[in-house]
Amino acid sequence: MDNSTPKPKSLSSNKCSLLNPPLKKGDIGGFAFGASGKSPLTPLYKRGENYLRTSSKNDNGPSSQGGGSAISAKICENLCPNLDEWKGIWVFAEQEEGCLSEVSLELLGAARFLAEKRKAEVGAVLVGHRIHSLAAPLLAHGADRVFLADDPLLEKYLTLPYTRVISDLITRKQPGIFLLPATPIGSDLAPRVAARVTTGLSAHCTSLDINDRGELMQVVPAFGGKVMATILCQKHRPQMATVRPGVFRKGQPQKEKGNVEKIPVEIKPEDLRQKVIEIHREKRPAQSIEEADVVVAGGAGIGTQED
Amino acid sequence: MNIIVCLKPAPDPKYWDRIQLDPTTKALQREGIPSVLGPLDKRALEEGLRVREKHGGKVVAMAMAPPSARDNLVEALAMGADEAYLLSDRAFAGSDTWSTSLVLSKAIGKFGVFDLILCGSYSVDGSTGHVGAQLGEFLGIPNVSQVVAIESIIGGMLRSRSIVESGYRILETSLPCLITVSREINTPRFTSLFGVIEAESKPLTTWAAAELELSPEAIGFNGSPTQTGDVFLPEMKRKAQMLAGEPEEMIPEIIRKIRQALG
Repeated sequence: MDNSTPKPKSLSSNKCSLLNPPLKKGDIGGFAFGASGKSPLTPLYKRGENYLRTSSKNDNGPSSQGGGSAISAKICENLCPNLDEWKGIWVFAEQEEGCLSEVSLELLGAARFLAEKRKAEVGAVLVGHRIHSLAAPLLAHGADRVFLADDPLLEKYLTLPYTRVISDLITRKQPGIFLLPATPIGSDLAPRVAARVTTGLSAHCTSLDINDRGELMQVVPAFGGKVMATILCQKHRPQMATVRPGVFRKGQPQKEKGNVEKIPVEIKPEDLRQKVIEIHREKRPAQSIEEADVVVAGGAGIGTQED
Repeated sequence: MNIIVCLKPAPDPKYWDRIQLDPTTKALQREGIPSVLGPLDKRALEEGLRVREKHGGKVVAMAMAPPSARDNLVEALAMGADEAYLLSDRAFAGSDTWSTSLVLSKAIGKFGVFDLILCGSYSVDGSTGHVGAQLGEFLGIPNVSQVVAIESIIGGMLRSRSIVESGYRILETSLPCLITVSREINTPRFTSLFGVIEAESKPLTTWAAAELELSPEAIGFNGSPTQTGDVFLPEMKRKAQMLAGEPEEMIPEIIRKIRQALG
């Protein structure tokens, strides 16, 4: 039950808080206050763009559908003409300021379990700046390949740049499954990526398995846990799911035998409409209730508070 | 400012013990359970009202829900929203978060203009927490999740405090944007009698799929990339052990049991 792993050394401080170029009024996305209008980037439904991904890898061209006509494209048809081409079981390796989060290693444990059944490769997606040293623990804990996206604009998590990099990677490499932690970052990133690449996403899975048809079975709670449902994503890829920390166990570190693949980072101006002003860390107790294996609770029978 | 608040009327948690599962069809039976606005929905609406009080403008409530949710939108109007839109159609049934976000994005587009969109971080029933971010994606605007405070809106930029794993962070986002709110953001106001009376004369419009120019394949069950397979009601049993005796005898026993549990 020992959860301690030597943490990778924290990167030397590059604590500049504003690596993103500051937005000025008039920049893309900047709006005069009170001038309520549409974003200068026409939203998808008006652009007429077929935001159902076409089967070709190049999905930049708008479809012929005009903004006013009904969306007639069938979402469930011909999006992934060959589901078998979508292999690979990926995990989003969450890191903050050079520290890999424990849940990333737990998800790698789950990915390894699924990979045995699917006979697929496990990939870890590592996004940030100057985080090469985090690849080694990912390889040691089950990744066959680490996709590394390194750019100053990715140093701090922001939804749009991370969505851009990861969605582009998914479109190019076509993984079959993509798991993310159900942390504040993962829960923000996963739905945005799923919407961009047009696929299904389930939340807070309590268990994952592969069924006879090779599909990912995602068991999720609903109605506060009163109901459990198994979610499938039968016609779209990748099958995406978020998993809470502590649901899976990370494996024992093995000898690293994978490789690191640097991926291109092409962030567009419209991805830069947010910036981090300040991060405020709060002191947390040594261990939270969720992390403890055993919780000892005392009721009135114990006596007084002094007891 | 045009502020749009997206709400999700959901079965009232007070009556969840009435939810039954048909073992053959695996369908959830929840007739007769009234729908309510979730606590985070109310906080999203409250925040929209506060932004309107500070900066002027209009608050519009929207919900994709069955016709019975009309009452929930009237409640939103009574709280202070200026207009309400109910997106209701049989074809929307069975939607997952993808197709729900699609419908909401079309409705917001039909409404025409927006500066700020507010949603709750998650609903009480599905609790995925996904619609906010997906709606932001379909509208092509930035989104901020789990906001606990809107610090300022100046010069077309919204400064927000939002939750991260290790604490919180302050972000500046250009408008228009979408934020999802967390429990700590505010305490929602109660509806006043005056609000209820005023609500009667405020516009509440219903839009169906055809008015939103959505074809059946793109929405509802057909338009959802996820499918629900097996559904079951888990049984929670507690293993209770009562120990009796003097404390001196019980303490080693308790320690032994804890050691056993730790493996």
